[in-house]
Amino acid sequence: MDNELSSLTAIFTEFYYWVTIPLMFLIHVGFCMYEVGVSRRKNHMHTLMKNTMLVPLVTITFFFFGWWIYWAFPNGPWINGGILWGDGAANTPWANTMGPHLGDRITGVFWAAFLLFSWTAASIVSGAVIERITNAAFWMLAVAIGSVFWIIDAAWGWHYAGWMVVKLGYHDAYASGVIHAIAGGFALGVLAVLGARIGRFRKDGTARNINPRNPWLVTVGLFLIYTGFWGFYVACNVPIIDMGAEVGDATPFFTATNIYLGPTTLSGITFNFLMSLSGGLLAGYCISKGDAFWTYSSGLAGVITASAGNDLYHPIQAMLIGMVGVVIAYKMHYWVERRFKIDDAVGAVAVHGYAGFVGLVICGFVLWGYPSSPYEGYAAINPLGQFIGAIIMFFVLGFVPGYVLSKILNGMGLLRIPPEVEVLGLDTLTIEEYEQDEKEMAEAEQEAAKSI
Amino acid sequence: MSTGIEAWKNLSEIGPIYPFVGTEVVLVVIAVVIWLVWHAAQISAEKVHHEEVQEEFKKRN
Repeated sequence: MDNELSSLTAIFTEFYYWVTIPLMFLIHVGFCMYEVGVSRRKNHMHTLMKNTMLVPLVTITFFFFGWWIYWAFPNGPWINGGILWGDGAANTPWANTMGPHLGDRITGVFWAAFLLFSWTAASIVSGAVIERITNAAFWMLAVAIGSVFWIIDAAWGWHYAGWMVVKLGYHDAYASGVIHAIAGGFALGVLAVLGARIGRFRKDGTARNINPRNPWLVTVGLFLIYTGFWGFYVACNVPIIDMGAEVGDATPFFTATNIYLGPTTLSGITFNFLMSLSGGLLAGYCISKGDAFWTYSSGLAGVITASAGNDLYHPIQAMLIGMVGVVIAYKMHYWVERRFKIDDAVGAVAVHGYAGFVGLVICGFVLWGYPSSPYEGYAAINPLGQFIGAIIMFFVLGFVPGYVLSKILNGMGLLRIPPEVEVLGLDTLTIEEYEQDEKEMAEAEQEAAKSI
Repeated sequence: MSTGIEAWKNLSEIGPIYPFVGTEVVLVVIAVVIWLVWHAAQISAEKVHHEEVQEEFKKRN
């Protein structure tokens, strides 16, 4: 920090990541509004607190071990090499750069940007399982997806030296797979064990609708998630590096890059975010016949589908890809519901899981042959590598851990609330206490009014 | 007496600026224990809440 220009770059980069964090906070405000709006009145406050408390739990566990996993596990380990002890050492919870340090202007903000992605992975699961999962089980599952499994997938497929990038040419610039497919797959694994809400399916197997208590709150919540998603996109980039020096060119070339250190521009991803959002909204409005919940959800699904390649797509390609993802996700949601009696309260598996999976596969075709990395010796982007990557994200690191952990929790009697509690409602006794308090206050005021 | 920094001089030679540098491992152990105890206490409290609601359900049905 003894040279003004390099100090400016260091502090600009620090500020760049910092700004994404309050923006991404809005994703969680949105998730809270959305889940409360979808739940029934008898469960509102428990639903809110279930989503809220993943914030401190994922935060502290990401500090304890999640961040170390990202730096230590790019090779698997034991797929393309061993544990990267050296890289991991600076990111252990006792490293002195994991705190205020005058020689380090990046660790805190970079850790926090990844942390907000961790919260998102857990929040995605949160919505699907409302009204019947115990807080205890959900919070343990949140730590698992938020501080273990997604960050393993990030070390593998969202790190410039991740083995999936090196060997498969895996490309997932804005996390179609590393956040959305894995969280959707994990949610599906949990749902398969958790079971449907009482009364959700008739005896003939058809589903009853449990409609949102407050559809207005749900849609404004989704709109806030869109707003926070801007921060997510910006945080997925590296703001400025000299790519010329990275690739051994004679001339410098300063540019923004994606997480793999391949070139992109903030301007380009701005086009693509907006066009894929628009494609999703347009397709969602049509396929759902104007249903507000599905239209707003489809905007998100459109962005998620195009995210894998939104660093490079043409904006109209992004729009069309968004539309395709939405149609597939919507159809799959209802097919899986009918066929397997899966009660996904908010369509999280579809919007995140199926849309993310499809987005990875499409990227393999549309960006076929592109370098996955500026470094030598990496596989190029290709359809097979993307498909294998999608399977790893959705099933291997998503569905299977969600299913197995839920089975363990279920075996311990910890997964689901008792049926009496589900029918009466998680908040019912509290609501009745509040009503009793109001009645008592009203009587006290009436009594006081007599002597005024 | 200082728990860490004594003067803001030779800044390029100063690394961590929090107090009690060297106690990081102890802090981590304390925090991990708190985290695990929190989960245990929460599981217990939630079980009590469920039993209360089940009792009430039986009275009403």
